Amino acid sequence: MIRSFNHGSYPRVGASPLDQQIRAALRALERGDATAAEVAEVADEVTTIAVAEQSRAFIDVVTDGMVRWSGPLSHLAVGLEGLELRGLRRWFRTNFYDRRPAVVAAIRRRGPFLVHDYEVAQRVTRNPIKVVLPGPVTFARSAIDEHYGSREAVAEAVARALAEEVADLAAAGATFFQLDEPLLCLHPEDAALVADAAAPIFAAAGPGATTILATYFGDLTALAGGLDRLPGSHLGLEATRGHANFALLDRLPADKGVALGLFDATTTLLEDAAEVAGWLGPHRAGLTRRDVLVGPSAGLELLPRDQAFDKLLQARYLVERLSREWTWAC
Amino acid sequence: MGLLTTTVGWLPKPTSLLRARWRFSEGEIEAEELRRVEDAAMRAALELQQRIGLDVLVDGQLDRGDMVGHFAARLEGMELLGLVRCFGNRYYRRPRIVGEVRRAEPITVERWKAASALASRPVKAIVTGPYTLMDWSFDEHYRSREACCRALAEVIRAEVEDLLEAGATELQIDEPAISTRPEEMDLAASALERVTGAARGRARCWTHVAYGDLAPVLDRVLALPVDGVLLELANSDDSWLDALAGLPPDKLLGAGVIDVLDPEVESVGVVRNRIRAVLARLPADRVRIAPDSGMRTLPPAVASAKLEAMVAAAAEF
Repeated sequence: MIRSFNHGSYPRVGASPLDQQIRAALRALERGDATAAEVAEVADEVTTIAVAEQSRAFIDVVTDGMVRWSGPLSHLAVGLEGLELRGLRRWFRTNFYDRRPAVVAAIRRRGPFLVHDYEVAQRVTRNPIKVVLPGPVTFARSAIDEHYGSREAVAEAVARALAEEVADLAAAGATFFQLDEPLLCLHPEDAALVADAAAPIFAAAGPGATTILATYFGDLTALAGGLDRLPGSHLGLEATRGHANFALLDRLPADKGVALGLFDATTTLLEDAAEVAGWLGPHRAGLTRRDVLVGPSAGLELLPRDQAFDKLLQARYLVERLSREWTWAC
Repeated sequence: MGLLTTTVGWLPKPTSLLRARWRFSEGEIEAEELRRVEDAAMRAALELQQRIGLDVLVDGQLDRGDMVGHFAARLEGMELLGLVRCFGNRYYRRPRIVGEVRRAEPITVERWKAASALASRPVKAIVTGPYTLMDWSFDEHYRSREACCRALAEVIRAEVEDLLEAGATELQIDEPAISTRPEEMDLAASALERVTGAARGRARCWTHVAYGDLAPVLDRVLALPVDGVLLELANSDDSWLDALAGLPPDKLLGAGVIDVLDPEVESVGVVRNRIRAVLARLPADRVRIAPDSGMRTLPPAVASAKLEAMVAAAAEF
């Protein structure tokens, strides 16, 4: 089976003033002209819009748009005790900056911090809402550790907290989870640690859940011989034009689904669905035997909203094309 | 006498200007009316800086929306797309390069001349560097980062030549993206050299970098072809401070000692300690004092109070 997916974030502001309500609300909060409750209401509405836009592109597996997230790592500070946010750091090679977390005390979950967004998003569509989670190992490598003294201990503490969150999300009905570990591409030596950290999180999702270990901003060719040791029902691979990860598509474990980031979220150059189908053609035999998700290579917040929408549309066109032209075993 | 002080360029826009920019974007007022409000805001910004006692002034970049879009909107071959988030609740209109980049006319010169005419102290002219313009745009034309960067270097060099012709003696070429790809430092440095080469012997050239992971390239940043480097030090770890010993002897340091991301105003004592940490590594005659970065996202009263604390602390040395 082949389905389209959104990777993670969706641009929370658009061109018109109406599409900038979250920006205006947060500014008002900064000035003291709005309350947190009022901003929360706006965030719910913008979440609804983000899901509706993805649905308008007929995307099969959508996200809540990550509207409330201040950044890919800093959002954890909303839900976890023991963290402080420090200065800005660039998010990989993008022009997006996130406040660098510092671990200053034992990490504990304050309470559910993703469940509300999931519930708001799920009310908009019958399609599955995929919940995105920051990877414990990417977090541990990026954060300043002033408490635990080892990366492994930080990753384990974050994983324990995220497992609690996933259990609550599963109880709320979530069945699609994505754990973002982009730094695995730059640090393949972390593979075992990533597997250890992901294990309790994915286990908390329950049997039958779709669990994606998402890697991006690089390739996993250094792990070509050990892909079977990576956790999750699906492996998320960046696979933009000419990407090294295409060499892995015929080496995936037999029982593993794959989430392919084919549409480059870092450029406005628009991939055409027919062109992308051509990239996948040589790997047809292996792909048609497994569950395949296709979508953007990373969070779409790196693009203006119009261009983000166009990327999703092409992902949908690709699904329509390959569903029609290829015979799928599952 | 004290240490010399300046800012990185951006000052907060007053509410009157924010309102005028919004009304202009909605077609409710003409460009002339917006210009009138911008002029008033610039006058106020210059008066404020002189009252506080800063040594090298700026126009506050109050006519600019963001550091890339301001140039992209005025260059042939570039067009502005929708808003993209850069951090927190901050956004910019990211440009797209769709053709050969050309400058039809000077972009910042008239504004700099107007500010200089109003000021009793030197006003720094500020442009965005070619590497950052390239890295923060979507390139659909050159399809080569090097070709794109070099084309933009020619455009910014022409702008700098016009600023020099107008009499600018302090120049700042902003390159916050320069640490994005360490393997492109040679390209970034040679593009910057193309720009600053025009000013050699005629003006003091600074560059400002911030918010990246500078550690792997800090030695290269300190060696960039400029007279001085403005670095964020309030909002960085101590490893950056330790690296200052590597600043080439012919270069100045613009020491960022005000955290522009923290709305809390630093006490004079806190700033004094930050300055002391710098002076433990570099002699005072090679140090200028500045905020970490632009202050446009701070409330105007907070920005003023931070600058007052900075100038007061710098005066103690």
